[in-house]
Amino acid sequence: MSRATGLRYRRRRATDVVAKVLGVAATAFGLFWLAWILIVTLRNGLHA
Amino acid sequence: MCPGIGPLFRGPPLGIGMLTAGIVLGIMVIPFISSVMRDVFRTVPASLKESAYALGSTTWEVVWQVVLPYTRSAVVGGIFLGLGRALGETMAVTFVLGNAHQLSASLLMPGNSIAATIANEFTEADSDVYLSSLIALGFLLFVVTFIVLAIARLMLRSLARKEGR
Repeated sequence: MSRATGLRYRRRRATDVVAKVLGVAATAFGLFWLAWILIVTLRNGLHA
Repeated sequence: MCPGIGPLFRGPPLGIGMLTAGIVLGIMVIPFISSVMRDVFRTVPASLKESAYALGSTTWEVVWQVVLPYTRSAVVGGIFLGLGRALGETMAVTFVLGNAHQLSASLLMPGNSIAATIANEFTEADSDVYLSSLIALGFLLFVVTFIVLAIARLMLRSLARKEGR
């Protein structure tokens, strides 16, 4: 594998990893808020 | 005070205002848009994605160069559908907007929306002019929503033309 090819491969791989990490982080962020909203709703509803 | 965005954030952060309403609306339309997007992305033929993977594409490249170009017009349409829902949203905005009849440059200041005004004041309309004004506001909201959705339709048409469909 030539140096330029290796560099391009590493760049593509890095972009892929960054995109996947951002995607997982966004999913975790959304699920956290969803869980929080559900927990607060259930807790307040059960206390009422 | 920052010269560009300073006026947008002038005043005390009360927690009730246009910024809060915007954030609430932005979060509210995410599930709607994402459910539309999920259905749209499922329409991409598996053979297209598998061909890209077979050629050595990464997941990101498949998403960016195969899935998104294939579904571009539907993605834009889904986003505008969410925008249309946000435009007509009433109660969530009413609770956090502050219901002040004033237009302020600052996003932290309370304001009002057409739907919130109608919801708040319809039962209080004790004269014909008052009632007619609220109905005129409803008509104005209809016109604004119609224009936004018409722009979305035009954008979709131009995208389809660009794609050669």
